[in-house]
Amino acid sequence: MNVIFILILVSVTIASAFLIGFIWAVKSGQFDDTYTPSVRMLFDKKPSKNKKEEKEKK
Amino acid sequence: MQQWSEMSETVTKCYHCGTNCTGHIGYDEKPFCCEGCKTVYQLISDNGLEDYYNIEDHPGISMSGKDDDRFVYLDNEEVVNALYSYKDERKAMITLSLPDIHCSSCVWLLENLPLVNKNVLACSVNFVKKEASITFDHHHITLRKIAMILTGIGYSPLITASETHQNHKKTFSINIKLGIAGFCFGNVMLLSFPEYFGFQSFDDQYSTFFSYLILGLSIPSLYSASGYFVSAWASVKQKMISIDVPIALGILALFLRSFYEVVSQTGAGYFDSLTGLVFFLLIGKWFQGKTYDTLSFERDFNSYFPLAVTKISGETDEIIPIKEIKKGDVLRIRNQEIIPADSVLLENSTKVNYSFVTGEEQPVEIKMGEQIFAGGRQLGPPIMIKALKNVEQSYLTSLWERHNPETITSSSMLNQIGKYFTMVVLAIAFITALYWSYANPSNIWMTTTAVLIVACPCALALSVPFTFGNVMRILGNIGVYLKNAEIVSKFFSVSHIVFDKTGTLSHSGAGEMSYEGVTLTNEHKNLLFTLAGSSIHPYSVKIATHFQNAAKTLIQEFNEFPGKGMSCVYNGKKYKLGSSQWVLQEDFDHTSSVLFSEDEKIIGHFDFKPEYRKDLKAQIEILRNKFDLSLISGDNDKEKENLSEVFGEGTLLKFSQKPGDKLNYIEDLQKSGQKVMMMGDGLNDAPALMKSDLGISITDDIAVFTPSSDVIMDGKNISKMSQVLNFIKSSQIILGISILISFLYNVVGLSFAVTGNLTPLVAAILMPLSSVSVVAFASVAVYLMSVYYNVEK
Repeated sequence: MNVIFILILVSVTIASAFLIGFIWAVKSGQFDDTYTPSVRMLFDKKPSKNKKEEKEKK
Repeated sequence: MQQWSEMSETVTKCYHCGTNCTGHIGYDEKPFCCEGCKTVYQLISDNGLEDYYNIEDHPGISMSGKDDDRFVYLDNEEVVNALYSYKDERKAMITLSLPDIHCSSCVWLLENLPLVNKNVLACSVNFVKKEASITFDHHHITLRKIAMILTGIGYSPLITASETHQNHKKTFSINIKLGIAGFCFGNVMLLSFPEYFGFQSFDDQYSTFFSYLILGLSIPSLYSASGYFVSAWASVKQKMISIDVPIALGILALFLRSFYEVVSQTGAGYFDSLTGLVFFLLIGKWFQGKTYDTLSFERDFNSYFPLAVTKISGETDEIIPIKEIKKGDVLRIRNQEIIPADSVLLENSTKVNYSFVTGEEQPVEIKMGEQIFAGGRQLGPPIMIKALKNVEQSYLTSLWERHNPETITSSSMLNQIGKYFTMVVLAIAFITALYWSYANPSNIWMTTTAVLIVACPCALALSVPFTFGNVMRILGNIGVYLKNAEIVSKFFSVSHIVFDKTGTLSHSGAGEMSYEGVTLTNEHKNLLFTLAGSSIHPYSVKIATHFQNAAKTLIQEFNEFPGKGMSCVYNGKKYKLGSSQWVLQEDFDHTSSVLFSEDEKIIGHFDFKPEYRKDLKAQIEILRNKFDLSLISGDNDKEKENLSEVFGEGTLLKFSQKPGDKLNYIEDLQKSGQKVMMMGDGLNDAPALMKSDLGISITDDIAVFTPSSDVIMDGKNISKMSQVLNFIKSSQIILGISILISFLYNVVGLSFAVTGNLTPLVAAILMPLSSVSVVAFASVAVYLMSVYYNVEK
């Protein structure tokens, strides 16, 4: 039953890793705009006007 | 003699923006309402972007009345450099606020801006914030040109001096706090399971390990709750008790008590309740913020003033940013421009409109040497003024700061409740301590802190934002925008509704217009177009729109008198366009709306037959039963009979009212104890709207804002007025019930606490349960009411 110490510590560590990942995502602007990407992905790209827009959203 | 009338054709809609076409402007076999829309269409189709029209019907924005000189100040290097968010040798990036973004077509068009001009490298839209981040080659295109292109396609940028970065920081701060609170809550609850399931017979080593781990995991929660501590401290410093004070107290008591229990090994503490409490509170805050994102009413102080102003140095005009204005600078201010700083007038005389500062619509005449205060709007030909102070110390800044204290943010009603609540709770805690000091002194500490812990106003604190927040969100969907959540409670006490006529009860764009009089020459038409086009009164707009095919001419001595009319001089002759009383100084027998005179001789008159809103009569009948109604109109009483029929017996109908009369009427009503709700179009009614207890400005074009009103409503909602009012009234009941529910929880919890039976388990169940049930009840009940009253989208 002593193994529970290790188990819990490991799981808390992993959970913290996710939390840090979340904080990093928020800071880099992932959640700034939750609406526009849903609209943007429905646009058609005309083959003749091929402009690959590789911009990172702020 | 010439006599004609025109009906608004509801049949042809402009291909671009969807408003009704009154003229016959066509291109490519498609109808357009004005040259502007036709130009935008040309621009769009020439660049192969016709898909814009395929995504939504009539996605365009109506192109009336945008002038070309607004962006001259963007030629100034310093102004422009302050606005860039990034710049290097090759490119520059700027984020512009485009309030006209309203649909997915807009997003599409803007993101394809590089196709319109190849020097724009990229454009990324944030729909919710109505912003676009534009990357461009600053060697080949200037910011001013970009602003003009954007205006040309209908998305005029709103350039503000405020930091756009501030908003950015605010949103991600609450997201981070919410994430941390959720993390702590989940983990602590999980780790508390053994204790729930009664494993008291745990080995010491386990229980210490678990409790310290839980303690450690709860500390980040305190960071998430820091907002409440800061706000509570701020309110205590002001000797006021806001609703955040008992919350902060409760959180602190919870933490300290649990900390003590763990360290002294007398128990497991209440960390699960603590983290759960913080998490739910933050969800409430986050939800409130989200309900708010789309329409932001409070315009930054700086954004109302023009960013740059024309300074006269020596012989030349120089454009400088307003923060560079120094005492003694001579400035040139044009018609309708805002005075940026307290100054003294260097011309003979001028008129200034102080409606932004005092609410007085009547312009004030200023003579040479007299002081003009910042915030006023200049009327008439350009004037020269000398600045008396730098911009920061201006009178208006202090006015603004006085009205917007940074400290207390909670609503006043909630603060009242919070005050009493805290006092009652402290009293109960005191009594409990007293009782137990006689009965069983060892219990004092435990029971007193238990009282502080369980008596949580959190459910109370949640019921108001959730109820009002939902109401605001639902109303926002149908086009009724409230300035903030407090406004909802203002609706509860309204006893008297005052209506304006033109633009409110009647649709300002539609309706018949007819002309009778001398045949108009082309010169007359040009003159009418220019003269009427200089005013934003609905009748002027209609006249100008009719003559839009005419050419703009140069007029002199332009003067507009609110509520009366306007005059100018052209080719040596004096022209007047306005109400019959003002133009003729006596009543014209037709009592028609607008007279046109040349050198005091009547040329003709325009009659307007209003088109009233749909179902107006039915709505008024329903409203009559609940409220006192009256009508105040600046127009003449031609429509008196029609309106008497609509409003019925006994309703006061007043016509030919000047803006000052409207204000006085509202004051009189308020003196006699009535709570007045005023509905007007915001142009001539600004002072009356501000004076009334609840001011609603009606607009048929949502992008036009009036800072003086509490609510902005799309004109089509007049047909639903009674349902909207009933819906809002029902939320009062819902609020009452949810407050009752939270009180019930408090009573139950307190009974446990006072008798010394508040185990962590009980607390852990009660508190989240109370929060969740209040939130769920408020949200569901408001939604059901919206369906019942037919106000959901």
